[in-house]
Amino acid sequence: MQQTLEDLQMVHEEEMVNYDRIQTEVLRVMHRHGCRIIQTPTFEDYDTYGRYFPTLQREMVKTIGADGSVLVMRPDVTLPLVKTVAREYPDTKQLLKFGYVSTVFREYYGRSTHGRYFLQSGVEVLGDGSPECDGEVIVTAAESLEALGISSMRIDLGTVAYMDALFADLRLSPKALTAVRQELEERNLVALRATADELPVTKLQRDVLTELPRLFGDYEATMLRAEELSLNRGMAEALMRTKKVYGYLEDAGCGGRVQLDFGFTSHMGYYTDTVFKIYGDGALYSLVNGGRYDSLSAQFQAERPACGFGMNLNLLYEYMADAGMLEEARPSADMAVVYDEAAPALIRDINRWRKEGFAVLGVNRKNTIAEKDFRLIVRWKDGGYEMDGQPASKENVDARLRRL
Amino acid sequence: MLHIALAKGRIAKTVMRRLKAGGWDFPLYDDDSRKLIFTDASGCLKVTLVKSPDVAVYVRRGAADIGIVGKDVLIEEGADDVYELLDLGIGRCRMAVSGIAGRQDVMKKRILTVASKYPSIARQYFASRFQPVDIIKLNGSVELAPLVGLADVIVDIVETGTTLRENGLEAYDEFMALSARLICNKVSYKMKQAELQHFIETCGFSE
Repeated sequence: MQQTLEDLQMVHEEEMVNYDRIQTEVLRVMHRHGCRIIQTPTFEDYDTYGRYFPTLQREMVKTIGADGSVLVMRPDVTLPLVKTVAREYPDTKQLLKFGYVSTVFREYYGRSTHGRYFLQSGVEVLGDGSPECDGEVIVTAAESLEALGISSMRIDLGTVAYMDALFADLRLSPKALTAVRQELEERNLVALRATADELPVTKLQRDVLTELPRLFGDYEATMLRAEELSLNRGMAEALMRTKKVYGYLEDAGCGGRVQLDFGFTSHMGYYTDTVFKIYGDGALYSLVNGGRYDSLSAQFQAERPACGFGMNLNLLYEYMADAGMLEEARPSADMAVVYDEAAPALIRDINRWRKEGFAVLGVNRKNTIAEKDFRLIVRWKDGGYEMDGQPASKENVDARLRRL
Repeated sequence: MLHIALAKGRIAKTVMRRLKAGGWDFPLYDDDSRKLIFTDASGCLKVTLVKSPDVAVYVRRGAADIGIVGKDVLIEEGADDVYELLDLGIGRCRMAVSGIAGRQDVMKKRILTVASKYPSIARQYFASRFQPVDIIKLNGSVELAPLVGLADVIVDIVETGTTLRENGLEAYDEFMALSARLICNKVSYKMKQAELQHFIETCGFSE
């Protein structure tokens, strides 16, 4: 029986060309920002992920190692990176900037694409807990998009510290807290209002809580509103810090693109402070997701602040294709020489052209070729060349090839 | 332009009436038309009529910005990755376990056979009561199942109870209140916030 596995597709040359360009550009931006390019292992220990990201467990691609141990295929890059850094860089004050482009094995959905794995690029900065570092990470992400020709974008900036400081005051039971967090994450206003009505909180606290999912918009107005709703010192401090991040973005020339969103939740309990997303014009999904995760490294016995972002390049590809920003397919070779019978002179010529840097293919006439793949097609017949149906000397072919 | 996906049938008809009352004019729409896409005269709102289980799919993938669909469908089909913004209060009904009138004892059977259009909701309900069940997925006229001996009980929505009564059935347990919900694509929620607010206000979908 023939079986086709869903979502497994070959990447064709025209796509490879574009993916290659995307990767080259994002890596170049990372270099400019002083990142060291790394690659985390393709396989990871299943239990490590089970412990730190239990919500990912269902999505992960599991496999069995030669020794019978259960492994997962790289479901993310941050965790193994933080783990390795904790072991190999004992100086927690050292500023470490890493960049990567790796395949990540997790499901994703686009407008019309869906896959079980995708190419992800990203940056992780460890050792620096300052708001400037957050700003720098966001600027790196924005520059990556710019380098690909996406200049119209919107940066949504928020902080989970604001929400967490509110929760600290509410003293909810763990069960209630989980429910509220889930409803906030889903921005399920219907359920959130119903839950909030049942909570042992003041009216003011209830109002702030139910307003959180809608606390977003342009910088000035939203910051003002967030300040009005701020109920304690923790919330005020979170806003102060966000102002500093914004200040950095403004100085770096990104201020006009920034909108605030205090409805962001700490996805998988991972983010501790700044959270951001970048949207392209007309995109149906965020192109970049990132934020600060200061408590992850401590789980590996090294207190080390960290901030980073990830970018799903498959989604970015779809976005760029929809926006007509990808390069058209072009001939993959310079010349095809179609022969009835190969001769030593022809073989010598072909190899000489190749040594000079031309992409040349010898094709037996019994085979067919796709004409669009070649910029020039000549015939080799009875020991000589034919071009445009006319006999041509080797020098003629040579001259034409150089003029392409 | 705001693009809205409506569940075909009663919800679509009710919402289209509300839209008309709110000042939205759809010159090409009428209740019985087979056309599935309509744009209002001002070109600000596009309506697509889709089967109810597909509404959340359209919204999640961004083929529509918002959608209106029953909560029963949202729970049954799973509506991950969309925001549920409003309870519109239309199409109010309950999800219930029903069976032949006066034979409620059947619920005590060791393994209960359950017929439903909502296998997932049915499974969740009985799992929460630790009741082993054999679930049969049906696509319509679920009331028939207990009458012809296909199932002991059914799990289905009950509005007035008339259909049940007419078939000699009664609701044993009404366990979930349902109504139509306004759902929204995560990105549209932000990018089209002003249009969305305008839409909600003009339709009288207050919070």
